[in-house]
Amino acid sequence: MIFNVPTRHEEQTLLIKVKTTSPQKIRIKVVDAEQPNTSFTDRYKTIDGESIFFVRMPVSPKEALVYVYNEKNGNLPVGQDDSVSVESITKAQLEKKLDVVDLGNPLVRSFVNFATRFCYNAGSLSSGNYVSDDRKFTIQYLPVIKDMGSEQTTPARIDVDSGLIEVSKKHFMDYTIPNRMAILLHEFSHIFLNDNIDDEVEADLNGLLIYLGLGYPRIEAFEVFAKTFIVAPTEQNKMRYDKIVNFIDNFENYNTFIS
Amino acid sequence: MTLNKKEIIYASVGLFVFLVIYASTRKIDLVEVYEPQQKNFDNSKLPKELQPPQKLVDGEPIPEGAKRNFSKYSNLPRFDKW
Repeated sequence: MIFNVPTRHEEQTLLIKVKTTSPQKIRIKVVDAEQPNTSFTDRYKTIDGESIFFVRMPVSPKEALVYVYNEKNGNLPVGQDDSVSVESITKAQLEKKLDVVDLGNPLVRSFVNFATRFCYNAGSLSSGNYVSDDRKFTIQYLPVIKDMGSEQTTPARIDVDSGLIEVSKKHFMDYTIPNRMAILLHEFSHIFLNDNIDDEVEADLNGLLIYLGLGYPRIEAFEVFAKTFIVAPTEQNKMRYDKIVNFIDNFENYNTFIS
Repeated sequence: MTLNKKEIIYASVGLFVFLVIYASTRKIDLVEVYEPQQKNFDNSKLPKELQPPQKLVDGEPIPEGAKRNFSKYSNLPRFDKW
């Protein structure tokens, strides 16, 4: 099932109420109705009975397409799949925690603006160098990231001397907008927020603080880190993922302390 | 029925709260589409805050970027300082 929802570029939360007749793996996607490769969520949940998907959208398109379907049966029109039905789609306010995101700080404000605009359009941008309005930040959008001719698995990285961020278009085309934001905020954190520039965990958590404070969805943060770590399943990455899970789980309760 | 001043104030506040709650959650009419309606996309029509960032011309030098702030009094947001 595909539904057209007028989101009008407003920040919002979409509440998608779904009903199943038995336990079913239901896939939800929200994409831009006009711009290709521009997705706001791509997730699934096993539902038995009624359940609501909360899709947080700090940025939204003019019109969105909401896909809801049973993974087992594929995307079928309304009435052709008895195993799942959409009860309602409701727009609600987006909850943010801007007290933890210091947008009064010009560097943070500039980068958030730049990253938002880059991530929103990454699905249709050509390779090349992109700069923020104040020219303090540059993203080099590359087909893939290479080291001495060898393709790297990382979706992005930052040069510690120049602050130049390299982004892999091959990875970003498949990511949702929240996935992309989480990655860029991680890279920003290495240079501009970390005490230790090389500390990956510190960059994960500093980046996530801004990401979650802006109202981006938690599930997309879990997903992008899982996607990145699964191709490099080291002990360090496992430890990083555990800390990320702990941080996100505790974010809502302000109970975060990482030793 | 006549209302005194206090009742008018209470009624106004109640109406205001009701309108805020009503306006903040809106049910959307379910309009099914059968094919994605992706048209030729023109990102110049996006609002200013969502338009793509400036792309440097091929060969244009990369600007010198922002520098790291080493001040311990920096109030940048950190995961362990909020």
